[in-house]
Amino acid sequence: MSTKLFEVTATPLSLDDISRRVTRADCGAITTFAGIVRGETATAEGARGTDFLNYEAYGEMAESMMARIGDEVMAKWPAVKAVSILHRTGRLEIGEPSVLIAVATPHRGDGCFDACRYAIERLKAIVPIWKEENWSDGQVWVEGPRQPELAAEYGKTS
Amino acid sequence: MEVRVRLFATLRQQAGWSQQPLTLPDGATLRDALAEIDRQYPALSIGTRTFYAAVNQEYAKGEQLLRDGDEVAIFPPVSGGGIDERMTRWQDDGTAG
Repeated sequence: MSTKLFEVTATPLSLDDISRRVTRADCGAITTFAGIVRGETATAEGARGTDFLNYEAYGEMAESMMARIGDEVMAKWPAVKAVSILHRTGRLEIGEPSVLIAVATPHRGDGCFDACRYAIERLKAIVPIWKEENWSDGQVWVEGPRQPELAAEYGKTS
Repeated sequence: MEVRVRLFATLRQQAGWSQQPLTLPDGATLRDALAEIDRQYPALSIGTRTFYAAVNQEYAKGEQLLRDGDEVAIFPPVSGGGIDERMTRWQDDGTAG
């Protein structure tokens, strides 16, 4: 079983597993976040049913960006002792977790809740992973909102 | 020199390939590489779309100098995690707006 703290994997994710990865003798608090594949997406035309999602990752860069988020968390919340971020790839069915985050601190008041929230927001901004929504009559790659500081300076978008 | 170009998600699908070698003159920058990709693969429409570029797994800007053997990746804005009804951005006051 993997003990990596930052991992992109095609294997199903487990909250017990990620909690074990950050468990330490000096930490009495672990906050976890699970992002779950939902069966419905809100669109301008109303709710649309999703059959399943397909996730693609730039694996090496994704793991290195996740580790960077871990470093950012430790810098912003110095009491944090361990951070783990796991993201699934491939076909995911409704109800399956696509991403898990765990943050361990000595005590619950040491920032683990805020740090966990920060980590998922940063993941959605900088970690190179994409989802393709599949429904009964089609599929589309989802593009996140443009982060001007990351956009390549080329052509009309620069 | 030769760099390796990698594409992901929509860009990979539109091009029909995920990696290709690209020959560039010595001293070329990322911007030069993008111009060459645009010339060789016009179907990617990289002149008219938002995309991110990375050199050796680090986000990079156009002026970055490339070296032989570098890995140049281009990909759409990322969309990992669950499905959001409204994509949020973290703000330093602790709220997501």
